[in-house]
Amino acid sequence: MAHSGRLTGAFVCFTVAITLVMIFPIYGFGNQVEPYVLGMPFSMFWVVFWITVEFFAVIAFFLHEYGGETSANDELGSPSTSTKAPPAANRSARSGSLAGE
Amino acid sequence: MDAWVIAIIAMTVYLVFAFALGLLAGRGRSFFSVSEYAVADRGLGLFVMWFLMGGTIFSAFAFLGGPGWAYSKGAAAFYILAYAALGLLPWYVIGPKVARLGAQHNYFTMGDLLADRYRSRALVVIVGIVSVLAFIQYLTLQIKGMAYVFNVLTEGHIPIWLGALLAYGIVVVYVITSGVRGAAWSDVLQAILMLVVAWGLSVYLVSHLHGGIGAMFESVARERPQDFLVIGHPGSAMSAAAYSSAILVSMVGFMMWPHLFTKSYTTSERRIKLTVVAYPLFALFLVPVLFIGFAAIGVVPPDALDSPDQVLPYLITHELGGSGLIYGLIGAGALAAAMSSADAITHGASVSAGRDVVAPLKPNLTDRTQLLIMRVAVVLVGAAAYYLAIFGAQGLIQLLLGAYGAIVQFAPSVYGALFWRRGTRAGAICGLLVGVGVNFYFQLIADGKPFDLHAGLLGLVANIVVFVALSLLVPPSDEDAAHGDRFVKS
Repeated sequence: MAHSGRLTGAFVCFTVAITLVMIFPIYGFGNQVEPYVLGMPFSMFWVVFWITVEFFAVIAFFLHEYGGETSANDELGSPSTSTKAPPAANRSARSGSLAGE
Repeated sequence: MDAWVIAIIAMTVYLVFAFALGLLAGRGRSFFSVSEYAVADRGLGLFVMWFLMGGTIFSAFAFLGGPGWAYSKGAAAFYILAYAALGLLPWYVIGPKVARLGAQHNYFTMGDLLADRYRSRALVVIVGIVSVLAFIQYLTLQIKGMAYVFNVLTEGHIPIWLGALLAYGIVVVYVITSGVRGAAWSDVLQAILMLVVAWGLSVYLVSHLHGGIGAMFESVARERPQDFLVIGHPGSAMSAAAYSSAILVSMVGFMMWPHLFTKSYTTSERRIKLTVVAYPLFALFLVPVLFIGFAAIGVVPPDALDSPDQVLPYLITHELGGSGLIYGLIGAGALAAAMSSADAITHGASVSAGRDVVAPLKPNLTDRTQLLIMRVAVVLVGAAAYYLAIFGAQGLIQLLLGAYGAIVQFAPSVYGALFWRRGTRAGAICGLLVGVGVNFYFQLIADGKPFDLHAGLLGLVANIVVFVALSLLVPPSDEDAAHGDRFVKS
């Protein structure tokens, strides 16, 4: 429970942070035409750069949570049944939530 | 044969194909099951899920409105990238929870969840009505997009009203027969087609017209005022507050669209998270789409267009030579973009109307009657949006932002349901009404907006204040709090 709570907390913080860099006042640092990067004005490169960062960060979150698990687990069972009765493997989020029920 | 005739033939071939695929998707599934129609019996695979959610962003607003904004408003178009990248993040946290609750209690819509949590039918009916109205606005955008494509690519031979009728008529038929599965499988086809077309077109136009991305932006900087490529300067198209609040409203509002929220019920927790993982990539896919708009600057004279949203089809007919086959292929890609969203929206609106508006007012409906109502709603909602698309005057992105202002008002009730045991029925209902009211006042009636903020954000702040204050002033009974607790803990 504590572990899954921390993970959710970290994800929420990450979401807030990545949102803040996209809007003012923080976007003010990126909001200029020069220098051009990869041909794009800096105001556009800033957005593209942080989206790329976001992409890898979300992958990291997912791997952290579902790391040692084979995809067969999910693809074999129908989703509705697997939601109701998750295998007891290292699914931290789910086992955490079950403990709470 | 004239180019436009070949274009019509190519687009027709595509429409027939999309139609067949949409119809086939529902084959062998129960035609008379609400669960199948609404949430595909909770069994959509990852691949389909990706395209279903991806198709939502690659809509007419991205494919036509994106280049239109880049062309006419410059840096303001970056809002589209930020919104696409951020919109799905909250789903990582709320999606699995909603999926669990949905499977336990047999929910099909956002209204089902809210009705159960707040034990209020009134709340659900309000949510249903607001959603249907916002859906109509959103659908108007897509229909307009389809009509532009047909009209410009056939060099005016297919009038706006007929193009819209053809493309959207097909969507209506396969949504009625195949439900969510029809929408999902057509989206796979449409998203792939649209991506191929957008990237090919972007690479070609940027290199053919300017010789490279760097050279293109240097030309933009020469052609336009110096503030064109930044936000919030005196010569910019958008102020810092308007830009930031538009991103915030779109981000918070994204998952509050009933048709997207409902997708939580169609799949498993792991697939929900994998879909979120893929989404920033979809945002990056949009970068070349914006390049198309920037490439048009200095090439397309502003007075050549009725609306900046036509810049992409205009470039195709004027810069790609006279090949009708290319017109048709690109036309099909653009239609794909609009149709893949139109089907999801139409489907969502029909489920909202049937399940959240009519069902609570008339309990004890059989499944069969409920489905009939949903299918009738498809036609009615479609007709309303069609009317607005032909006679309304707003640009594509204004339509989207307007619809978001209303949709985002669901956020306090939904997050409250999932994370705050003390939230009360009265708080949720009053907050929602105040939020929607404030949004409409600043969107339609007031002359200016305080600090140039998005009307939806002003409504959202009022909404949260009322929701929290009322819930604290009139606390829930012990039994209600225990009921709320079950949702927080599940």
